[in-house]
Amino acid sequence: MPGFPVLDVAIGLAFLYLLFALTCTTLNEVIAIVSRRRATTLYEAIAQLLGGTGMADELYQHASIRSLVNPRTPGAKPSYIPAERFAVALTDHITKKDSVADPKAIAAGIQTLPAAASTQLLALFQLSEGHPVEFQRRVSDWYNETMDRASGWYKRAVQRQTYVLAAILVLWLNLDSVQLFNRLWSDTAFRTAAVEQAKARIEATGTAEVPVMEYTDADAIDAGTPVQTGTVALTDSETQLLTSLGGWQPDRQRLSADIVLKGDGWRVRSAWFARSAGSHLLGWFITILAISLGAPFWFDVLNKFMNLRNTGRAPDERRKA
Amino acid sequence: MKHRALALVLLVLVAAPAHGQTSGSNIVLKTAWAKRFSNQLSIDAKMTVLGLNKGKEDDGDSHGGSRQNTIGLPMVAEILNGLAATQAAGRAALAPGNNPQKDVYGAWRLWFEHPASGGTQCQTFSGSAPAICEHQTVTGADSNPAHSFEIHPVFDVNGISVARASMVLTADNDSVMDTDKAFTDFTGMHKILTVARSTTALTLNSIKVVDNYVQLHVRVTRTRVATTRQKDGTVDGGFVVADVFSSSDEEQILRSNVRLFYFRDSDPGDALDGAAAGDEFTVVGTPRLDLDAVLKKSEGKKTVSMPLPFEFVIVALLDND
Repeated sequence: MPGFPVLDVAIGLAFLYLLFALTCTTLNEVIAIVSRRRATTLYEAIAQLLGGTGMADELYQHASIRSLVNPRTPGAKPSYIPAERFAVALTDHITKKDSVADPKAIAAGIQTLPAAASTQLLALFQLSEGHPVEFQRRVSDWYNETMDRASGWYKRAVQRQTYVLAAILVLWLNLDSVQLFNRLWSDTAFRTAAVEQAKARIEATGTAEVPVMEYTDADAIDAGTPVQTGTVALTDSETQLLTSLGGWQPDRQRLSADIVLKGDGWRVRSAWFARSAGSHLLGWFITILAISLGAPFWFDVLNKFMNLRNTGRAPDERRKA
Repeated sequence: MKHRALALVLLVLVAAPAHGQTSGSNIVLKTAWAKRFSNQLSIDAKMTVLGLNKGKEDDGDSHGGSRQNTIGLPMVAEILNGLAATQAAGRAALAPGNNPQKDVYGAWRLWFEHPASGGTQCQTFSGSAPAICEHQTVTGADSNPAHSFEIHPVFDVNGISVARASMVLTADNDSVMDTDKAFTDFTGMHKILTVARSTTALTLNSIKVVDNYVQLHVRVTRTRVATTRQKDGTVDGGFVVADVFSSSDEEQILRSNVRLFYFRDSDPGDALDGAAAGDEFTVVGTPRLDLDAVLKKSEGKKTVSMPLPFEFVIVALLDND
């Protein structure tokens, strides 16, 4: 867009950050699915709540908890357990064969538990003044408080993983923000391609606030799964744009030139590496930080830039659009 | 160089405020589902009730929360006047008990009253929802999960009719809002519904909207259009179109052409079913999103913003002029 090079550079950069962040999101999701991280985090939180994995394992064998996982996946653990279901399962586990509504059975059962769990549960039982329903409500609240913390652990773990993935991606593809900025500034064709693809993505995806979705089963009123359009998967043209970034190629060419001029050897290669790393360090750092902000953030920014760009259009251009 | 610096400043200025910003919450609906129910009063659902509220609430309702149901959304089912002796059987039927699977029939209600904060809830009938919808399973209490979909009022639960006793205003309901105040709440400058529409889905974005019950003085302008029950196709009620008058100035029409839905087997149903053009009533209504208006205004558009379109389900007849 010849009229707004400054804005278009900003759009191009935000769009590239969005693509990098989307790549990271995909990798994060793959790792979360393969490692069953949500289920593992929940299990760890419950184990901590109950003072060890032994009691957590026993509780996970309760029919109401087992029913939360796909029976065809042996050993699978649920990713989510409703608080009331947890409270009922725990009370049932405590009272064993007696009724869950029997205060004496609850009090006796609590005494048989490991120290860490029995101390907390006894306090909850005393606070509920021996009422089984109130006891279950307090257990639910206790569970919810722990789940809030577990949710924080999960987010922090994902954030740490994002930093690591971002660093790998940046070093592997040599994603130097300073270099990208210069390229967008000086290469009109590259800039135009980036802006056009950013426009296409926003049209396909909606705005950051209002995503465009589709359903897998279009005909039936009561079947199907929603799918967010054009978000995580990169389109062919976006992949093409990323491959056109150059990566390490200019640096490798410089190394080849050094070898021709000075001969091959560890001194030449070390000097080349130090020079390359030194010149990219700031750019890499900025890119890693940008990726860690996440795809929704850059999508939002991109959307704002696009709105700004559309507001500033000349009337004849607006008619053409 | 000056321009390059300007581009960077622009990026930072626009990006910084975007971080962590939220603009209301989203509901993703299957278009075929919205079309099926947009002109109907009611819906039939099978739902797993996770919890039922215990104490008395301002509106005197009893609400059972669910995350697994045939609607495909986190939801609650509300029995009006739920603590009244006449509703005891219905309330007991809605409580999770030994069999939390319930057949619930009542008026569908989409309203952004208890939305997930800044998130997206997606109607999901099968498979796993994408990450954007993930939070829908984890927030809120079991009796009241974060939701924007309700069956409210419930007419029947597990074959026990609660309609007649529901649709009278009792002293238990302290939350009936004055017309002028409620319409100000519904039509304020920020009460904008934004819709992103694809071939198979509608993403609805709105900020939170309040007011469950509104007192209305209305004059019928168009007599009833019948509605039918999903389960068996029988006529279960209908809607009339009416002018709604201001509560502070009885001559002033606040809004024309408002759809007022009613259940036939109820006091307001008895009155409205035979109403003629020009008849006036004072009633209590529960506001809900006018899906018919949403579908019509978004037809052929990718995204569109509109003043929040609403209609009412009439739940009590106060005066029949």
